Amino acid sequence: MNKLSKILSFVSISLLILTNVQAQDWNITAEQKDMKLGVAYTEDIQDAGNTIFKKSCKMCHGDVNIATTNDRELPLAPNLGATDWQGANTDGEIFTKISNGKGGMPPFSGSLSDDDRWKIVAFIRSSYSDYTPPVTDATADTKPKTPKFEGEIKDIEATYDDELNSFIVRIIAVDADGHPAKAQGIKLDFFVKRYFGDMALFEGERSNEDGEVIIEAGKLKADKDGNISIIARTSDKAITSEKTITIGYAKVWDNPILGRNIWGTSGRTPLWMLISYLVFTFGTLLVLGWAAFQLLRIHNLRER
Amino acid sequence: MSENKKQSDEAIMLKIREDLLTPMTKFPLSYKIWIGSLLTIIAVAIWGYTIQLQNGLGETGMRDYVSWGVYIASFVFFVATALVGMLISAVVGLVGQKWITPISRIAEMIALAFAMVAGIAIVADMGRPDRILNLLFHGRFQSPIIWDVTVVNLYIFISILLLFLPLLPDLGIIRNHMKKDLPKWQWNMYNILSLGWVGTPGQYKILHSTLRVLLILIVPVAMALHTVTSWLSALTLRAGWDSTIFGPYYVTGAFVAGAGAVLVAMYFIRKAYRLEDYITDFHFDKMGKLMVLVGLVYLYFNINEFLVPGYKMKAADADHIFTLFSLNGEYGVMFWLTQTFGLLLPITLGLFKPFRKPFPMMLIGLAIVIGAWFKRVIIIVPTMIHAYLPIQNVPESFHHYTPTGLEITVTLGIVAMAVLIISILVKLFPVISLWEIAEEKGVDIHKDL
Ligand code: HEC
Repeated sequence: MNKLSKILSFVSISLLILTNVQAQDWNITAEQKDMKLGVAYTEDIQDAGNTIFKKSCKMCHGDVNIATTNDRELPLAPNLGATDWQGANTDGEIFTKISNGKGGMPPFSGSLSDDDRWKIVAFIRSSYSDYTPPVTDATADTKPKTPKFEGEIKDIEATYDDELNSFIVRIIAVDADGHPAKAQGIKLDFFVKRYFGDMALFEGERSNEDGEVIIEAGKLKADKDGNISIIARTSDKAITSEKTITIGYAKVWDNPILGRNIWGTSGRTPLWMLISYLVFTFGTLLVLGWAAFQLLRIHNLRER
Repeated sequence: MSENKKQSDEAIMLKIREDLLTPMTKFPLSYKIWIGSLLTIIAVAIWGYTIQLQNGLGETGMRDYVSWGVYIASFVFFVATALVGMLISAVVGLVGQKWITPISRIAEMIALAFAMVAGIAIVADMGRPDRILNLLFHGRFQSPIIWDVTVVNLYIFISILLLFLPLLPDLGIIRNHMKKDLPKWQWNMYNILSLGWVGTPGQYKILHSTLRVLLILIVPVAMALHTVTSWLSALTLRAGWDSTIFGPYYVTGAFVAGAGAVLVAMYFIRKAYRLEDYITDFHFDKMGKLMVLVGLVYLYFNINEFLVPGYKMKAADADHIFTLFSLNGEYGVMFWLTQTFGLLLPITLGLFKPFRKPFPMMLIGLAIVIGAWFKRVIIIVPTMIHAYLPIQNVPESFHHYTPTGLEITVTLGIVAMAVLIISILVKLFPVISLWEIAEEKGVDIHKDL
């Protein structure tokens, strides 16, 4: 093989690989890139987007963590909170990527409506402070549902109310003047600690006018002393509080070793089994004893 | 008339006594050699067992995965063969067949001997036999092992009674007529054992009613015995054992093994004691038919046991079935030889009258018994190699099981022990019930014979 053919084959192979990579690209047209956010950029819409994100995306992408750049490598799904990525992509691009997918990213155009996908985009954008929503008639008249809280959040406190069988997560805050205040409209997350990952009771829930979120405990399982460990935090993770709360009912645990079970010790034989065994054994022995007694009777009938 | 009758009775009884009791007093060289060789085998086995006791079960071919080898297979085989006591009893007790009279005592002796050595096989399989009493102190009623221990012992008790009760009139006869022919201790023993039997109608009445109850009782106990033995395997979740028909599969298999054992024993006892007048070709013919009958039932259960999982081929079962069915499988050759010579051929040949003559019947019986032993190995061992979880990172020897010479020696010793017990029983007691034969011949037995 001469030098030229070597170079030629190298080039052609490289081209082949490159075109392959090309084929693996997002393939976004200019038209798609220029699409504007198809929903109003309001807190309600963002929250709705969050809900969908939790259901359809979080299992791969995890939380949208604000960071300068994405720190996860393929095949892990990237962190969609990376600011460099947010800056480099238009709304239309993000929307198209979600719609069409690529490689490990499934296309969602079939399973989520346009509206839902736009809501997700709005939610993703809510973690990007430099984002300027397109000015439309819709956004012009949408004011935030609640006035933005201006004070400072000091702490979060979670308690359990026996009567309501509910957890009350309360924000402790001060207003601009340093007086205690009720922080309304702050997004909170609330988890119960479990062995295999924490269980979210709510995520991104906004505090009410008392600065609280109330959530029913339902049939939540506590340990034998009635304790559960919880994590309450603001959704931006600025403030987190972890503690153990005693709820009114302890876990009632039937130790399977203590019952009359097949796997138990002999003292805990299931009654039906014990009775069957004894009836059979002693029934047979009784007949055998009777037979032995007959031998005695035969003996007694001998002629002296 | 009554004087005539009395005389003819006397003549008949004289012949019966002559035929059936004289062998008890003779110890020909062949018998001595026979007993001597059995004792030798047992002695070698005991020597082997002490080595095993000292060095542990590592002396056997058993390892972590195959922890039940030929010892347990032999145990199942012994229990199976012991079930013949019930088979024969059921034939007489429940179906009321009279032809079986001359065979029934032989069957009872086999049953007793095999039931007794079954426990020895278990002890041989124990790494720490010194802990056997823990079974009593810490045994769990939930465990089929406890059920098995219980029911084996119950079965032994019943077998002893079923052997002993019909012996009473015979012991009376021996006491009355053999005082001068027997050593003093032996006659004394018969005298005590005969419980003062004089053959009054009252005594016969008690004897008959007790026997009837025992003949019926042995049926459920024997069924329980072998069903529970099958549960030792079937109650665990393992390919090849996880079967709902294991109980009847074992019980019917036991009948086949027992029928085979009786055929062999009948042949040799008849030859050694010259009992051609009592155990006739007719009896071999009948036993042969009985063997074919139970063989067909067992065949039916075999088809169910193998065809059903073989059709579905569930993952772990498929492995198991392959090792058995394919001639390339580890147990393929053994499986097909066993099924052919231990079941298919005996059934087929048994259908033809020329094969139901004494000699061919003995050969067939022998094939059945040997096949029955291998069948138990096939039931017990391959399953243990097919664990559900992959067998990984273990020495090569853990993957297979080959019994060591020592293991085979001990096993043979236990077999020899069973045969020895039978050989001694047939010397100590008349192998055929004198009074029942006499009754069949019309002798008035309601008096001191
Ligand atoms: C099965 C796991 C999975 C799910 C579910 C998933 N993604 Fe992805 N996503 C990925 C992977 C992997 C990538 C990276 C694809 C690549 O670059 O080859 C990705 C890429 C993306 C990108 C493009 C990032 C970039 O580099 O430009 C966006 C935007 C995105 N996903 C959004 C979403 C949204 C919104 C959802 C929910 C509707 C979602 N994903 C659901 C795995 C997933």
